[in-house]
Amino acid sequence: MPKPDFGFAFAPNRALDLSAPLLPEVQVVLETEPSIRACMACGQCAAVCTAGAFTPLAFYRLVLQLRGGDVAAVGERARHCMLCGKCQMTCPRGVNIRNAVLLMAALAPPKP
Amino acid sequence: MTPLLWKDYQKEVPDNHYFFVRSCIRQTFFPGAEAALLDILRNSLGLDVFEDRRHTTCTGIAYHCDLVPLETIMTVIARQLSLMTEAGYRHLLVSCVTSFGIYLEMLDMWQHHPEMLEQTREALWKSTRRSFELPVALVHTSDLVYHLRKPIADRSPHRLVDKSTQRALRVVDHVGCHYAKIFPAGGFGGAEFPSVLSGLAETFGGEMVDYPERRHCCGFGFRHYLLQENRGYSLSNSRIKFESMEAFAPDLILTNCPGCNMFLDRWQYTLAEMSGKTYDREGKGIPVLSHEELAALMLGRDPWTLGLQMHQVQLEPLLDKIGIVYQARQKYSMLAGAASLPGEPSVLKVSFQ
Amino acid sequence: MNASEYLPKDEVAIIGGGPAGMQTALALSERGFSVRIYEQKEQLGGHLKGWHHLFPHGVAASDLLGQLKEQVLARAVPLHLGQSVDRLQKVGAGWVLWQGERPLGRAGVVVLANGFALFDARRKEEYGYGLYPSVLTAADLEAVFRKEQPWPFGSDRMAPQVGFVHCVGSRDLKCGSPHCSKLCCVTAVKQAMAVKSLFPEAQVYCFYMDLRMHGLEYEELYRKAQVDYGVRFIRGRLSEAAPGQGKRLHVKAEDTLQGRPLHLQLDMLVLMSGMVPAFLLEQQERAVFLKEPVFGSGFVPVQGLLAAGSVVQQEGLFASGACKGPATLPEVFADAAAVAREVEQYLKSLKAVAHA
Ligand SMILES: Cc1cc2nc3c(=O)[nH]c(=O)nc-3n(C[C@H](O)[C@H](O)[C@H](O)COP(=O)(O)OP(=O)(O)OC[C@H]3O[C@@H](n4cnc5c(N)ncnc54)[C@H](O)[C@@H]3O)c2cc1C
Ligand code: SF4
Ligand code: SF4
Repeated sequence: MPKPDFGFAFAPNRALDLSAPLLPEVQVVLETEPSIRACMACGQCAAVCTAGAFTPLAFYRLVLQLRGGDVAAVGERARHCMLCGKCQMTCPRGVNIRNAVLLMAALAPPKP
Repeated sequence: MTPLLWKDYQKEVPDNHYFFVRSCIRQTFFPGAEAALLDILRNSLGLDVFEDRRHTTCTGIAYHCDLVPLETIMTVIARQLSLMTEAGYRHLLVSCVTSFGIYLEMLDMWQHHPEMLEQTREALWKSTRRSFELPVALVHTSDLVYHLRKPIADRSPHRLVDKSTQRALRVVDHVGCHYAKIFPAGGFGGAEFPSVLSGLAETFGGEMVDYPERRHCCGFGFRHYLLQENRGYSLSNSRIKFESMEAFAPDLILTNCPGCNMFLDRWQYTLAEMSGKTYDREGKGIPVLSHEELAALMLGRDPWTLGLQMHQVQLEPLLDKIGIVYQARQKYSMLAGAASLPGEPSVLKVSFQ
Repeated sequence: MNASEYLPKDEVAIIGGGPAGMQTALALSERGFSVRIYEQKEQLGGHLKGWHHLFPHGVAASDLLGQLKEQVLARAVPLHLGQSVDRLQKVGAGWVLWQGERPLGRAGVVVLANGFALFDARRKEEYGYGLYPSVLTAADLEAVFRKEQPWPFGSDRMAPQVGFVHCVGSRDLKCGSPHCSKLCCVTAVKQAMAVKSLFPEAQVYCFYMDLRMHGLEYEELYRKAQVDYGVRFIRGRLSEAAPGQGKRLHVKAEDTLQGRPLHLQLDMLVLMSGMVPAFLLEQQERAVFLKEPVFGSGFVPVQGLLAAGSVVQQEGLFASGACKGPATLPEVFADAAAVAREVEQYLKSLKAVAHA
């Protein structure tokens, strides 16, 4: 019988699978810039972010997404960074955000 | 005192004298199931189960889709109860999990809002000149089958065991959401530790698998499948369940809700067509049975009289494992004569002869 | 009977021989009052007996307990072990202590120091405590650290996946406990670090709603857990635990910071069972009953402002330590000193009356 056209489709499960080991490239970022681990998702960095006013860049979210393995999105969003460094000045935990953002931006495939 | 764990929770089920109300979905998609149940209760176990052909749909599905207003469904429910009252019964036996939830909900509302009960009495009287009493016991058919599991098992020639290897068959259960998630005290084991199906499977010698998404909704959801465009939602939820049970290689999915029974069965075909994937190792799908279908098979009823040819995932592999003898050629000889064979799916393997 | 009729040598009876009871006894004994301790168990120590090491500095619980006991012995505080007080009867200005039909003794002042109970984690059905062997409570994990209980996973697991669930039976209206138990957050951090020290390859997650690091140096412990131990903190309460593959558990939660559900296979799930009342104080005009708590019953109600120890409605009845609500050991010790002072003032006021 030919494959029927159902007129609907199933959606993939949105749930994150934390059991999956960290991707090697994620591990490299975390090991190269260990201060990322100190992030407590307070959001101070995002509220002052120059790019965040116009783009989906919010550094603490990149940290969360990075651990979740969403490498492409992290790389893509990190590229919105202006490297102005306001976030780093405001971070109470002293995260080296500039370096972290550079490492993250390098995760996205180079633009043609 | 309320027990600490729902696992310890038991429900009072009367031994006899029931007024039976049918399920629209069950009758339509699994037409032999309710006949088999009545046959078991009346003829194998000698119970008094009364049915009134004047009873109607409970309108539960339309109610959940906001098509039927509360006052209407209350009056419809009141009418069913008036048939029960007229026949002299006080134990209501409900085939459908949706209906079961509806009866629980209406009784609960009437208990908390006696004025609504009065309004309903008035509405029923004005429209039909009928009056009614509330049931003393509200029992889902899976409650009753669970309650009677020992006498049923005692009369059963079969067990849920692979006859050739003596391995207990692995059963995953799916208890309908409206059975115990709305009113946990209305079901065996409540919402967290439902025992109504697992207890049945274990009595027949099966091995229960407590798989991670056991309590996940099958996705039936009423309004979520009425429109074709919405059905992906229902499908996606069933898929979550299949993905979760796959690793345990179940021999059987056991349900108590006609809607779940249908979707867990049919969606296996749909998913196979869409993604090329089946959730068993041989590409035949995981057989799905409801509580009364299982009980009937165990008691040696003929699979085709039971209507198992209406299932999408073919039951033959399970019948063979249990050692149930069946007439392969009789599968499509209906009362009205031989039916033409159904079309073959492109992925899911079926056995039409 | 008048105020002077209580026996001076039985001035103060302390109910409960945990940290609060011992410390209150010491403080009063040092002030020259005669004190006795009634403890229902055969040993002193209360919950401290069951802990392995203490936040924030990792002091061995047995060292602290040893010191406390030594001091109690050195001051020869009379101990009534194995005696559980369930009723106090007011006679004159003093009290008679009862266990069932048996009078245990009498005193001018009674100090309740009978502590807290651990929330019965089986009541959070969705976590499967008591059903799945790899679900433990924080107290069970202390017993594992103390080698009184085995790890719930095989010794072949060098990199176990471990989850800690904060607020189990705390901040939970449906469980009848609206309060925050206040020290389980730091306990989870302490235990997560301990697990990482024992299994450096382990993946350790804490599922929290907010981290309440109220004490001195607790916040620093949290930062260390993140930076030095790689413990991962996920904001979202665990919703469900079910059997997973092999002997593992399958757990579900929402990562509320990302707005995405997550699931995870764990070798051990630790429930931070909160502190709940150990008894229900039923007060009558001249009697007080210590009863089984019921749903929603609170801790011992006290009057006054800071560090208040005198029990509402009852002259000569005081409460010390965690029976008044969740408290850490340093808080319990500070409270004991404050309660001792209140007791002293009360006894002096009685004597002043008697002399007048
Ligand atoms: C998991 C966990 C870990 C903890 N870790 C730490 C830590 O690292 N550092 C820290 O500072 N604090 C810690 N605490 C807190 C600490 O345990 C408490 O502050 C302390 O135990 C309170 O002492 P207590 O004497 O008031 O109560 P309890 O320790 O509960 O002692 C009460 C005593 O009274 C007795 N008793 C009860 N009823 C009666 C009765 N009717 N008659 C006679 N006797 C009775 C009991 O048997 C018991 O011995 C922890 C708590 C928990 C739950
Ligand atoms: S300011 Fe620092 S600690 Fe706060 S979210 Fe940003 S990186 Fe994390
Ligand atoms: S201390 Fe933390 S874990 Fe304990 S109840 Fe309060 S917030 Fe929850």
